[in-house]
Amino acid sequence: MYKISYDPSSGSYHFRTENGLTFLCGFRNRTRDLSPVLGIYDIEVWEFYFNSYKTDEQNDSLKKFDKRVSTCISHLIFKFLAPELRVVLYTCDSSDGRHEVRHNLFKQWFNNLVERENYTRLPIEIDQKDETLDLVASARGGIITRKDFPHMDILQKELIDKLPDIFREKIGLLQHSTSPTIST
Amino acid sequence: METIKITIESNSKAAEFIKKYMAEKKAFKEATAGLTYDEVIDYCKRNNIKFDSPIDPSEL
Repeated sequence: MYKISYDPSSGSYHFRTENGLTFLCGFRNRTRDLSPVLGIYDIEVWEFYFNSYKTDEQNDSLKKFDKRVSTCISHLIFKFLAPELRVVLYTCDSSDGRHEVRHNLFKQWFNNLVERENYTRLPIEIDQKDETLDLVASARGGIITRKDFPHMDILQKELIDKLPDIFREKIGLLQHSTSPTIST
Repeated sequence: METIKITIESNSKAAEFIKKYMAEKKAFKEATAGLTYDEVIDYCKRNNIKFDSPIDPSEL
């Protein structure tokens, strides 16, 4: 695993790979933007963001698979999930059409983790298509909690069940039959 | 398959959440595309962008 550092000016965590990339990782507490019911149960929902940025010393092997990257990302997430009532929410960027690749990569990372038995990952997949307008919109993401998260029923009702409406609002047009696929 | 236009529930608390969430994430990623890490940190400082820090640095 790479050494992870904390930058107090931005509140982010970062690590630098041998390929010359620096990964910036950050959390944002979104609980106050959600249903107050979550707060009653002391559930905290946090957004997780990460992205890689080049440095002056990058080399030609930027695309090379680097297992230590996933180790660092999962280390941060698991450290974050030390308190049992925390929830991680992430989405995969779809601006370049590679959200499915990112989604599968995240799934692969998670499934390869030795510690995964202690956590629950709920992948969220929404495909939205309007045949009349030949419009396709997709969203991929997921929710990660500890396996012993005590209020899954509340989380389901107050966050997961509302995600279809959320994404509908984002995109506006979709098929009746489209709904999130949530599985463990 | 029938395609319908969804009536947006603008008073949905959850809808407000992801709308804000996705917009912020997209804006940050677009604004920092092509920058080096140091430039990204500088961008955060100039625009008063600060992540919350739920993990004690000593635990890293």
